[in-house]
Amino acid sequence: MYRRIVSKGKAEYFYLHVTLEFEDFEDVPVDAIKFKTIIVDALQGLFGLAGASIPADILKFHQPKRSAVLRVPSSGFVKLWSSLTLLGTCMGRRCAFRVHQVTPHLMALSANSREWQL
Amino acid sequence: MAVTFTCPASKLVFERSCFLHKNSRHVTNVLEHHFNYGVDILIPDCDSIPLHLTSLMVNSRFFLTERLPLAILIDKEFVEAFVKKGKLYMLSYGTAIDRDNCVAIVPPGILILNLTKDTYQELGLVGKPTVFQKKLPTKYVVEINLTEEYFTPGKNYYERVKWCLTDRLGLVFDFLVAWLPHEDQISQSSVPAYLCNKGFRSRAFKVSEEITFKKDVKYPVIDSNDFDGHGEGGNSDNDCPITSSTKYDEQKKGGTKSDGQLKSGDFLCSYTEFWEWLGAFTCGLDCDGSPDDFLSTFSCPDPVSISPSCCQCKYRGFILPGTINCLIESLRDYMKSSTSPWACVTVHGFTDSPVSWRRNEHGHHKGGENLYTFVLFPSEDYWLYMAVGTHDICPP
Repeated sequence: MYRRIVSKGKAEYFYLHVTLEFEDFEDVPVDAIKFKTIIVDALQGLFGLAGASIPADILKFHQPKRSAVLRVPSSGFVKLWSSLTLLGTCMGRRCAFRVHQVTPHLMALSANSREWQL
Repeated sequence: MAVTFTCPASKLVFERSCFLHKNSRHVTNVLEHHFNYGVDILIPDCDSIPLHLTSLMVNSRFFLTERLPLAILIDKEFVEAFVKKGKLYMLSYGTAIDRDNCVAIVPPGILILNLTKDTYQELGLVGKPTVFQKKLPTKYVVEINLTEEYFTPGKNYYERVKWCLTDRLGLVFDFLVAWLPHEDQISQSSVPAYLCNKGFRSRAFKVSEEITFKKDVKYPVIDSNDFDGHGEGGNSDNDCPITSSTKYDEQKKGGTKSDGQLKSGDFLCSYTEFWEWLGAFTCGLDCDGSPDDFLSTFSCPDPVSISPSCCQCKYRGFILPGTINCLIESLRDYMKSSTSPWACVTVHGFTDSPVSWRRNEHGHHKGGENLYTFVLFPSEDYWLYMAVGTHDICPP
């Protein structure tokens, strides 16, 4: 009847809620495929071809805000996050990835009390 | 040589039980999670949500009191009138647990100060270093039981605390306040009214509501007994409590779909696959990826069923645990007469709360999630997921 399972340690996947921001240009058109290419290029720039092979899924992409929810296997999580942080330019323009939330539980991304304004 | 980096640890506790079982802890699990920021409800095969479910949530109120000194909270008049006469929940607003001082009051009248090292050393009250940083702690926790007999004016300890909070450091916070009096005839707004008389402004808020109906939703098929997707009934005949602890890696190795002895038709969605899908659906993600898709390989786990109408409700605010218990009771009643195969209630705790369950310390390391999900079945069985981040103690 009753069953309890405790899972600890490294989760299978990590999820990131990120936004791509440009320094001077607010109206840079970036679609989902371009967004994924930027991420793969960032991984390849820092970790080479082995980094580019990390499967980073774009689960959701909001084109006007250039924000996305990414899924990455936990073995590639630190590499992805560091690649996004160190990315300084793309498409010849200065840019930065802003990481809003990071979690091993996808459900946690549906609410963020830190962005709650009363 | 491939370089590997360690990633933050996480904890997920899964429980399968029955509401009717005499040892079921569903009420305690809800009541012990004090600070709730959001509630997400998901009901498949549902055309209209019962009014009493929604009114329960939107009628709950909370208050924001601005610039309240901590010394007011230990005032004997305040303790006697509110802390001892009801369940008082207070949480500092706009403070981040990983870099600021955070303060909370949880029933039955425990004042919890989660302080930075500088503030702790200046304040002069005895506390404990955070359990998450063994070497060189940067946060300290001070707990004061406001209802203890020795915590009265004239006693040494009380006078010491009062002196620390008034003369040594005049700590001031914005507070979220909710109060549930023991006696029904007393108004919940007595606390802000009292504080207003003392000269501190309070504003009242209602819990925000967002209800959406989605058409033709693909959702995974689950069975309350078959939580691991093996098709073996999940020990349903065994009445003894069974607990086990696994690493995520071990779960993956013993994955449900790698067992060649079972036919493909026997597999159902396991509790981990369902948990990920539920998160994806609640966040409004695209679940139609294919294994060779460039953008995303994520898809709804098999086998799937299609719901003509799926109801999703989101509530955000400072929500009392008692309200969530009433909601779950109402949903149980609804499930008895409904055709829905299951219903889900997810409760998100505050990221910057000093405690998660009971008085377990809560912190923020990469993420500060502390949440739980009930999956209710018409048979009165339920699945309960409790998830926390790295700086958290395992849920009870």
